[in-house]
Amino acid sequence: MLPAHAPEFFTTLRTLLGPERCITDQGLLLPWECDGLSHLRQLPIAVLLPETRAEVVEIVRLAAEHGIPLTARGAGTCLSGGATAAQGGALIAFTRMKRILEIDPVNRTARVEPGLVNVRLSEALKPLGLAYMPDPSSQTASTLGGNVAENSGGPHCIKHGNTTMSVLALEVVLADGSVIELGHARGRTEGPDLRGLFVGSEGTLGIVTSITFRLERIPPAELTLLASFADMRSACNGVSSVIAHGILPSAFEAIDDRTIAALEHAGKKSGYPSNAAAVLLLEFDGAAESVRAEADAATALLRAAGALRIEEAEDAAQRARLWKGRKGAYGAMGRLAPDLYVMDTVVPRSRLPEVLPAIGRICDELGLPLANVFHAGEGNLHPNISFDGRNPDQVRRVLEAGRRIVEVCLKAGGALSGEHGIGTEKREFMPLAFGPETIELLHGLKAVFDPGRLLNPDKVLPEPVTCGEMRPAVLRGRSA
Amino acid sequence: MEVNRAPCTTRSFGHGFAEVDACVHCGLCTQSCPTYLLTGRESMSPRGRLWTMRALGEGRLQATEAVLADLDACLVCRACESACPSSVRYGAVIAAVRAGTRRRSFVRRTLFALLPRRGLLQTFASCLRLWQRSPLRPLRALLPPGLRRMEAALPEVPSAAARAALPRFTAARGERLGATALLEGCVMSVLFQDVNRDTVTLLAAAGFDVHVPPAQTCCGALHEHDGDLNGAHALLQRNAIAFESVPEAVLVMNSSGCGTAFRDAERSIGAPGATLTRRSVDVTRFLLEHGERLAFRPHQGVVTLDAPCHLHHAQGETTAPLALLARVPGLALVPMKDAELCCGSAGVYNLDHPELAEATLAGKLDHLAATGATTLLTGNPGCILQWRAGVRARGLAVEVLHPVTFLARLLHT
Repeated sequence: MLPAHAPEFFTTLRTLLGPERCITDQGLLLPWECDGLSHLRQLPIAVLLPETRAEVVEIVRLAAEHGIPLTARGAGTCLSGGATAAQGGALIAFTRMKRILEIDPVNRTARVEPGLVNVRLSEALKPLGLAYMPDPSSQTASTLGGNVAENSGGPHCIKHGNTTMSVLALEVVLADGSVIELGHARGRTEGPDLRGLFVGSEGTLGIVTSITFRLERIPPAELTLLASFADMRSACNGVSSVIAHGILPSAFEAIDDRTIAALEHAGKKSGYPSNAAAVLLLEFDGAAESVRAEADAATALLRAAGALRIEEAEDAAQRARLWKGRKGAYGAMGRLAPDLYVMDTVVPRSRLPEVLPAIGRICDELGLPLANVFHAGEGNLHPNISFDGRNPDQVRRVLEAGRRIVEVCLKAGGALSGEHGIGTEKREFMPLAFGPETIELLHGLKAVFDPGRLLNPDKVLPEPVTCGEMRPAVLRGRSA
Repeated sequence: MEVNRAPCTTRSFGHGFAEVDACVHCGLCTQSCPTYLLTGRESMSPRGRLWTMRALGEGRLQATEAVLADLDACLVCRACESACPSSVRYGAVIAAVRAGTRRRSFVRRTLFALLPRRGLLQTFASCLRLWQRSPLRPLRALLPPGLRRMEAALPEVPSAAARAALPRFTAARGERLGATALLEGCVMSVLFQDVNRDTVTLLAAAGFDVHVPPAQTCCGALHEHDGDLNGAHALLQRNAIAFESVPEAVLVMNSSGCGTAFRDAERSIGAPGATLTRRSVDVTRFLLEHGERLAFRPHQGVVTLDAPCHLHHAQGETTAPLALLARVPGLALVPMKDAELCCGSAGVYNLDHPELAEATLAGKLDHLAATGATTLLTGNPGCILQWRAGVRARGLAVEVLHPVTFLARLLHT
């Protein structure tokens, strides 16, 4: 059964893609109604699964012709609703476009299709002694196309940078179906950096069909430390102290006691001490001597900050176990309640000791269980709130907590998102972080690339009506 | 964008279904799922299937033909359970939902009804063998497609002599270290009685008495996968009683499907199943820990190991097979890529979903060829059959064996 409106759109696509790759059955569409942010849902009118760039172009062209909004989606692990369909819109899912097109070990670049899962690239590079550094906690599932759309971070991005630092070039299908190349595999571009503009634009400006990444050599040595503390404040002070002394770990993570309890509860042997109120997970990479020196210096500083115990991972297996706990922490919270809201905000590192208790108070007041696991070195917080999405009152309280947490973080000089993006989750907060002029400019930018507002609309930017002072020229540009 | 205000009225699918609430929809399971890797469709992923099942439970989704088809296409390999950071017991959820939704054909029900009835099963096997060797066999072209596929997928049935029942008791050789008991199984006893005999040989050589209690029956794993929870649980009850006749014996399992059914017995049927859960152990783990007395001759040729899903993911036994094989002096054991991914056998899945099963196996065969192995070892009857069919179709010179058979051949006597 095809949706009633724009029947031509569907019949043409069904012929092009076949019924397996053009999903319109209501029951089969249901599991596509949200991404990792499961309390905000929108059933797509169709899901399209292209296998080639030509098919993507055809889908975009047809969507433009029939006025169907399109949302690009990788694995759907996004935590801000970026990969959820727009009202009346279709999803274009890249799960079948997952080839590695080229690896150039000499120039250390790789060109891939957007549906390739992050960890699959690392697996392919490993025998060559090469690595793709950005490692979002979702890396075993999330796609590189999605990582580019969200400019994803990860534990090791404190040293190696978010996704954008590794993106050399993008092939993009624009809203009218034309294909452009942004950036260059050799890393040099003339004029403004349009590649940088697209990374993190959450699929609102165009649809990426291939990505060229910069690769790194696998670091010759790695060393992992686990430091436990009697309270989170000392742990946070330890973080600031290490960084203030000019030491840059390749990862610097904090995990609180509730997260450790959740891991235990889910039956995961994380190796984190169950009696600590907070633990820090640090990693150093580089030449063996410098790694040792940095780790020793950090150990002394953390002790001075009040660390109860500092352990060093003895081998690769123990290191992997420590990381598995960190990367599975959010999933493990599923044992606490049926649903989970993973927030993403940033505060200056120095403000962590006061912001964390403030967030705790908000959740206490609203009667919501909170657990914190976050990229401490970057001040990138992830308050995790457990709730039951079937209870409307709990959902209301969760949304309220989200708003108040954002306000606290912004007031402390922070930012809306460190790595999960804005999506639908935080678009209403954009005016809290940006002045009307900036938002107006962003609307204008969107209009330049997507005048028909068909590419992932209703994301990132707040509804234009809420920005009362919008200039007519910009409005004209958008509706052209 | 609508904020979720789904009704709280939950239709209960019964035992095990509540586990669905532990999923946080993170999606970390997706890359472990063979059907998702092939199709890229959310409704063919563990996360999507859990979402679908939860919606069925909440009453906001109708169990239409299309919805059930994608649920039925699940292999229940449970690789997603290994990947899940929340340790969601996916197998329990889908078994509960299948019990409430699966429509089972007459042929299927008849076939499954045979499994626990040893006499009838052996008669059926004899008839099948007669048919397989009969000049009338070309007439199978006239069978309806479903039955024809099933007929073609069935392996050659061994002779009645090869299928003879195991002795009820085999004494330990040399000094007696303890007692074990063996489940002969349904498929195992018809198609792989040689593996059962080799298991007895190894256990006796290791110094253990081997009991084969006569009251035992099929473990019920296939029934459970098929959504016949009541049938499966009744069989577990019978086995729990049967193995009480040898209360001090360790239940050594040589089929990972049956092993999982026993290991999960307490969860499935409560306290009466505890004896099966507590006492059962995979044969590789048992021989690793208690087989000091076994000595093996060296083996020429490269060997690789495929992990049966129900051993690796469902039972979490990821190390014993490798560690046991390391006892063979100088064994050239080459790891196979994606060895922990399902081969597509999945009980009788290859009969229901031949295309998906074949596509799943195709990738695995590539990895097998890349190892250069001449012997592939895997510890589950369904997997052995699936691999043998694939190896034959691909024309690979690889012998597919149960690890027990491989070790029994090399045993110093």
